[in-house]
Amino acid sequence: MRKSLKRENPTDMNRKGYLYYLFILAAIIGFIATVQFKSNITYQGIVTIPKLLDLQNEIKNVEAENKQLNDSISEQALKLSLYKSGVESTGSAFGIMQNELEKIRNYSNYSKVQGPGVIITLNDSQQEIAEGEDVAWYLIHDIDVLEIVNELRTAGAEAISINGERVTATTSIRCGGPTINIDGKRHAVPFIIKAIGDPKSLEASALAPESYIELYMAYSGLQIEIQKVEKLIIDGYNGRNKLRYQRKTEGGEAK
Amino acid sequence: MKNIKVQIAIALVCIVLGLMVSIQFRTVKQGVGQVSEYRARELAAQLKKTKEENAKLQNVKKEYESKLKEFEDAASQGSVSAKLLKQELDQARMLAGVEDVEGPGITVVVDDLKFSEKVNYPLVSYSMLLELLNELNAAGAEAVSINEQRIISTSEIRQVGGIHININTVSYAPPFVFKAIGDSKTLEAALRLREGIVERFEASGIAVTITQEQLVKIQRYNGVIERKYAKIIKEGESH
Repeated sequence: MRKSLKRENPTDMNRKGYLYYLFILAAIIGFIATVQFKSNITYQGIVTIPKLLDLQNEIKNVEAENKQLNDSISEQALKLSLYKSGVESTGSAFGIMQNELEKIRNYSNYSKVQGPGVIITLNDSQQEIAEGEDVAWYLIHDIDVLEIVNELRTAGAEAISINGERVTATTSIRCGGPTINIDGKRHAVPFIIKAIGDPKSLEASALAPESYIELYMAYSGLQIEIQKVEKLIIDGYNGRNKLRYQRKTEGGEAK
Repeated sequence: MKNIKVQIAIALVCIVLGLMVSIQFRTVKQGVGQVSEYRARELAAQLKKTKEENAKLQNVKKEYESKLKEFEDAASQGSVSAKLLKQELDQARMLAGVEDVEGPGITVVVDDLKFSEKVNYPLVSYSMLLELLNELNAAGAEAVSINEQRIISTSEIRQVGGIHININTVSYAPPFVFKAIGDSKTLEAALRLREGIVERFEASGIAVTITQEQLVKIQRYNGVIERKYAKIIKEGESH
């Protein structure tokens, strides 16, 4: 006890200095900790850049949906006024409904249509197959046709057919050995894909450097021909009505 | 002695502080921090507003639809031919995807379990979704939707930057929920074929969950279908 007292007296000033240091340090740490905690609480969980991007994306999506809704509302308003004038002039909406049916049959791909567009012809490669190479690289596959159809849709194609088979929402394009089954029907090369839409944008999407054709089909001599056409005729879908399992949702909306 | 003890204490405090500061800097560098709270609130408010507008528009649309339905119902009461016409119209609408439909079928959830988000690499690519849709169609699906987007004949599935995929021009990140109406057993069996699509997905680390359902409800296509170029050829018209 005595010893420590004795040691303490000469260093009294120094010790006080340390205490100040410690006090200041503690104050700073305390301050930082509080700021940290406080900001965490007001963020309601940590706001991160990915979360912000998610938010932005969601806003973009809802806005896109709103635009779609606005468009379809104005379409319906037009339809409603047609119905009203139809009832006023002829006493019933029958005639208008007939027009409506014709339009919907175009949407459901049951009607024969014509318009400008492109024809894409695909054929197997005629090149010699080098040793060790896979013959598969030289053939047209189901996936190639599927990807090209998807790209044509992206470019705004309104009607598409493959070797005369009209492509609908439920068309399947699958490998059947040496042939490709389109909606269960066998087809062999050459594959002739017709698409009605803006010929310029359809052609541009097929020729773009990042297009499927350029990325995956341009190297092994596959024969690909893209042709803009002023007037193209595409037959309506003539397969079975796919209405065995589905039925209209009555009353309440599907959610 | 005392001096050393105090110095050690200060050194410790300094180390802790140093660590805290460096961790702070590192998190900022990783791009997980440094987000202005104001921006987040602003976005949240904007989202709320757009959602409110969306709800309003949905209501307006529903109103119009019920009015149109009244007209058609009234017309179809009139005569047998009108009744047939109305039936045909309903069927055509179902096939075109502009009518809400229901029936037995399956739901398929394709999930990357947040992997893509972490590395910003699309584990689930658009072509996988395209193939899955094609398999469902081959197995006899009558109506399909992905994340509530009804697939119609002009629906595209497109990769748009990073992990997002556009379906009907609306962009989505995983998980992707497919709904398909058809024979539920056939649909599931087709996907679960040996070395089939589910096995391939799972081999690349994607989780696939298939549920057979008594009743799958699929919403109609929400947008406007355009036929600016494809014009109907009337019967008997020369071409």
